[in-house]
Amino acid sequence: MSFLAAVLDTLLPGDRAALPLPPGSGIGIEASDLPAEALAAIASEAGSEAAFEAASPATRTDILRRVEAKSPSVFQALLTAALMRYYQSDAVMTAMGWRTDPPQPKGRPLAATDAATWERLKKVKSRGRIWR
Amino acid sequence: MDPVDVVVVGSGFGGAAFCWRLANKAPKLRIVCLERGGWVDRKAMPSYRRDWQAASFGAWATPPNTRLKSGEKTQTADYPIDDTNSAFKPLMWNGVGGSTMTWAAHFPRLHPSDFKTKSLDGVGDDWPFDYFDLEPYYDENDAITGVAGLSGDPAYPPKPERRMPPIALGRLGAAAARGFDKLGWHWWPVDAAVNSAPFDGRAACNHCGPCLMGCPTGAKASVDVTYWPKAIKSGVELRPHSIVQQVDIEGGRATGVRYRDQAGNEVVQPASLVVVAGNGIGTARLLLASGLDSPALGRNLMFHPAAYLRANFDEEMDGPVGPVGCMLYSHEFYETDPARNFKRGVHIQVTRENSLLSMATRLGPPAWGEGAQQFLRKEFRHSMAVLVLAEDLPEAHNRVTLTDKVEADGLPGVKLDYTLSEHSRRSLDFGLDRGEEFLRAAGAASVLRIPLAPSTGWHLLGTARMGSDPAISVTDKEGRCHKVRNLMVADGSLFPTVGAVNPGSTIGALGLKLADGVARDAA
Repeated sequence: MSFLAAVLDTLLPGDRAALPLPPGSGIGIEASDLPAEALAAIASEAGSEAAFEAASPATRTDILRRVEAKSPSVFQALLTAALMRYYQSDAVMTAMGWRTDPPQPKGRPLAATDAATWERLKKVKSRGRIWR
Repeated sequence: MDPVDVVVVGSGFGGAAFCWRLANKAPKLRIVCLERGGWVDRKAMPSYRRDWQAASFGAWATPPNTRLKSGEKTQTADYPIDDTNSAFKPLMWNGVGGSTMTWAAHFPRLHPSDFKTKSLDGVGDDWPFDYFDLEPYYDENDAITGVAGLSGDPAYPPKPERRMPPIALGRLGAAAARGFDKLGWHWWPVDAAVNSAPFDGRAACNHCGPCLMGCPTGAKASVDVTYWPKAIKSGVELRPHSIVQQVDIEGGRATGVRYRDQAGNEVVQPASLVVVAGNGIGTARLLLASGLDSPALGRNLMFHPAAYLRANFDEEMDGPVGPVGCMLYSHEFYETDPARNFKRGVHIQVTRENSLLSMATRLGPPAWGEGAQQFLRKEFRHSMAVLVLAEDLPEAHNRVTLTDKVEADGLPGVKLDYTLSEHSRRSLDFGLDRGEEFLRAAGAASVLRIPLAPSTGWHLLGTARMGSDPAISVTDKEGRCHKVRNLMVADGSLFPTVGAVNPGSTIGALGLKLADGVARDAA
């Protein structure tokens, strides 16, 4: 596993649900998509890129937590960049049970107000004036 | 430039409604509106793109500061706002249509009691007129805007039949109604400035979701598609990309404005009447920069203090579809109750889901790792959010001031100082308690409280308030500045108090009312 994949998979490990969420390394994120300063901070905290790669998942998580605590804005920039790529990917949208096409021009289906809800509203109306 | 009768600064809701009404009531007047930004290009709106979710973090972010910091090319003419000392961060759109371009289009009126908080409850101030004085203008504003809703709401005086039926409530609405019904509390479908059916040449909403990044179909009633085409047809000249630098004031009279055109040239526009409608920050900034002498100018800045709750349900909801802020609300606790530890009340609003990416970025802590991803698994398409708005009361120390810096737009920099009051905190805590009670009744499996929502500073109000005393107000009840009678304000800056609901409907109605006053004087 490369250093980049190790970072991404610690941030976004994915899961093994029926429609599995891919790991962060599984959707084509490149190092150039992420802030270099953040990656360098992680390598520095681990001792080296190789040390981070070789660490256990629990140790990698600890390292990221330390970087997050020491350099919150740097870490946040990394996280935001990773989340933007990850949660806009077709594979992740599909795994989350959602559509991959943009909102327009087709729009989205929305269930009509059901009969029980209209019945409940009658009771509200029957209360009479509550404004002053 | 040739002199004109009226120059209006700002093309948002107040300016648009004012211009349209005045052009129709006094057609002989030459009216020019100067707008610092341009017309939006609907074809370039993010909703057509696969990366639409990311746009809300860049060029289509709702805070101007975020748009500026993104470095992306935007369709707005933004200026930085120093909000480091403000509990709420300002949101606005600086272009034709103002913040209606990216508003949620939730379209409530103030309540009658909102106009009389001092005499009824001993807090805030009374407006110089009441709900029923404004009511015909609310009705007119509804008719031009197009409202999807349902008449008969017992929380309000009777309103005319809504032009369109309410936006579909969906599964989320059914669950919410169940919860309110269980508690016996008031709830009602919102008045939405969104077409639920074709209206006025505009399409019906197709529930695409991201209203806050602009409405590409025009189903959402932003004033660039409602008032402006009509105002221009009536003879109003709208000049985009015109950044007003100063209102010229000589001997207690406004003589016109100076503005920077798109080419960067300074243009002097003489006018018999100057009307400023640049929102509670922009209006105060321009009038302060112009040297208007008024001790209340810039003071009494009000937002609507906001907090919210996020709940997860086992049942499946609708996901990120439909107008996000236009579903249903409860005014069970809107009016003052002496048993509570605060005056006035709270607005409780059930809102629809945001995009998957937005939901992912607000997770945590931790916001990453297995726990965060599994939480999002449970939340997405299974959540209900409840927004709690409190009534912000006027406090002179909450204010807009100028900085020593000159910004790129040629105007002085602007700074906000705003502290959440103990009164507002008590109101929000009460609202959060009621919101959680409601969510549990609706069947929520878990509820997360967000005690304060800083990024909700849409409603920029009160900084040039109406009143009769020049020591504590900037304008009279006609919107005319006490010390410069041919200088007016026509936006939410005028609000003496703000209720606990969105102000767009009232800003539009107020713009119409003020225009009638000018037309009467001109007759």
